[in-house]
Amino acid sequence: MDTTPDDLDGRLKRSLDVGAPDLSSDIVTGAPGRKAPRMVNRGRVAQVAAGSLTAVAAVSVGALVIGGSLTATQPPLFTAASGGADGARIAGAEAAIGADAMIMPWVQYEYLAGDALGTSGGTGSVYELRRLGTPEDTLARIASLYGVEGAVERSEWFSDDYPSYMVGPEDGTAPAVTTTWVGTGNWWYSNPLPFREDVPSPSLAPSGAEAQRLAADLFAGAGLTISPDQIVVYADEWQTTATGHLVVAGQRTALDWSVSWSATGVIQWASGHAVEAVERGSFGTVSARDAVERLADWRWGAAPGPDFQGDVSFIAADAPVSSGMARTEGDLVEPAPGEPGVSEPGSPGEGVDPVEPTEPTEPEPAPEPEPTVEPAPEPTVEPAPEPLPEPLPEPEVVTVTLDEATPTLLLMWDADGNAWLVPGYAFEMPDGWFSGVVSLVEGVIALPERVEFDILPIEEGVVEDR
Amino acid sequence: MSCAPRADAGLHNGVVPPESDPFVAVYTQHLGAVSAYLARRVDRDAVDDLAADVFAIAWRKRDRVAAGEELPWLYRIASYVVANHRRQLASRTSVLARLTAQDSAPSAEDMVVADRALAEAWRALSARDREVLALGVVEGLSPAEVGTALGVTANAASIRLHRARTRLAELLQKNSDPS
Repeated sequence: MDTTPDDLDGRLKRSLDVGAPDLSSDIVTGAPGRKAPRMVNRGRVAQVAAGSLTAVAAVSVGALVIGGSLTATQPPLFTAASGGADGARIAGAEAAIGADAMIMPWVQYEYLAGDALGTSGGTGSVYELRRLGTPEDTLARIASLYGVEGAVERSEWFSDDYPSYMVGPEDGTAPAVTTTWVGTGNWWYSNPLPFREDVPSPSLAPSGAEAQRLAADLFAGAGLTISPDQIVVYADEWQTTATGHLVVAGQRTALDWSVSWSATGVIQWASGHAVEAVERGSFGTVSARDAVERLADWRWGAAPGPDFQGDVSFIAADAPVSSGMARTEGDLVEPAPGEPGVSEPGSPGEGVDPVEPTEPTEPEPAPEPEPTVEPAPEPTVEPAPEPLPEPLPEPEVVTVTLDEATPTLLLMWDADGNAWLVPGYAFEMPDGWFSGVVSLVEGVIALPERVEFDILPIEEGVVEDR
Repeated sequence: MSCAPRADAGLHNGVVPPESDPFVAVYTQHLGAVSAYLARRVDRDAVDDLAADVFAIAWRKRDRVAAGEELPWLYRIASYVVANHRRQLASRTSVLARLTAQDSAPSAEDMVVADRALAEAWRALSARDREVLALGVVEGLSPAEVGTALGVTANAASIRLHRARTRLAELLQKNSDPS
């Protein structure tokens, strides 16, 4: 039996229409007086327990440089960002740790290199993603592109560490463009549309090929040259979003530009970057077999492009990598499974989310009217103080043998919040995800000190009695 | 709209007079939605208590939420409250049950029994897919609101919703295929 999307939605609603008790407004008025479960951010607690998060130890220089671009006496190209070095990843870590680590991680994965994995190292190029131009020029160009009037001004949230600029109002009352001139010079256009319950149906947003064409023009105006057929379009009844990725050395990277139309046909938001890829040399890389060992060390993780699913951050849950699938109806872009480089990440399964919080030092200003702003550090509910049995249950160990690894460029952040493209492997995980592991030989980049995020045991009395 | 109480809000025994506080005016509107959210995930007799926890937490964190995002934020709080509640229930039954990750998504057991095929397909979905479908379809949130509730971007929420729908439809199709 074929079920149309409308049938499915209707069936879901009916099946989960279990009725709900009427709640008294006393629940709201009495909120101040009620002792709520205490909100503890386990990530923050764990980070404090781990000590300094910004201490960095350069990995000892080992065999380097087939190609002679870096010698044993030269310092590493950059120091990779640690889990505690940047605000957005901390927030993501806190959110993930708060949400998921509260559910004790009782499964531990061990990865083995399968016989099919390559045993030879090689070489690979490293690219620095260097900010291009000035924030004023960038914003002026984007503002002109999207029809935002006004002068470029410092944002209310401007600081030396996060120099933020805006065109348009900061209060969300009218279209605006913002940028924080760190990292990749990420900019954001937002058009605060009034809420409507009766969105047009069918959507008035551009469909399929038209969205690709319009997006290609807009991206070109914003510094990304890309052909329309390389743009992926996602659509639902609320919005249509077109996304293109920076291509370097023929590979689609995790850095994306996006533009989104509401169902009324109006552009509601867009985002992009102001960078150029500068090659910094060719360096030795380890074999795929040797790279498997690095899966156990999150510091070697980095983000592959949309042709590979999977989040390589140690933050498993919601740190996204761009990927996409268009809706398989109408004249929208149809992904061809396994067809890279056009409109399809190439893999089925759970899938991957667009690049967002992997930009570590580009916090979006709080007054940003864009609905994708994270509302707050995520609340975490302290579990009940149930005494644990003795001895503490051991986690289940699951052994995963990896047989496939694809060399690709990975997006990596350094401790200063800047972005790099480094050679690595995308390993396909059993559940369809891909995990990116940097393949540079040791010494080319410096890794931060390991930070152990202890999952603290449940303690009696942590939750306030009601 | 700011939901911070005025200094002269006049707390009486911890209860805020209904008419005088923006928090009350804004959040009372969402009582029904929170009740429905909880009722789809926990026993009916637990809804009242858990809802009180949700709003108590919301009160304490009220200055962190952007105006207009209160409902998806309440759902986010509620998801943790539900997960915590389920862990507590599980820990009272067996150690083994406690070792199972407790999620906050509606389970197949929460469904009305009449649509057995849907319940079976729903059971095969991941918790993540169930939750995004519950928020986006059943609770009726927009992608931006789903994103707020899940702590991801609107774009990510759109993609998850699309994929979850696709997977559910495939499971239904597979379950109904006689071969």
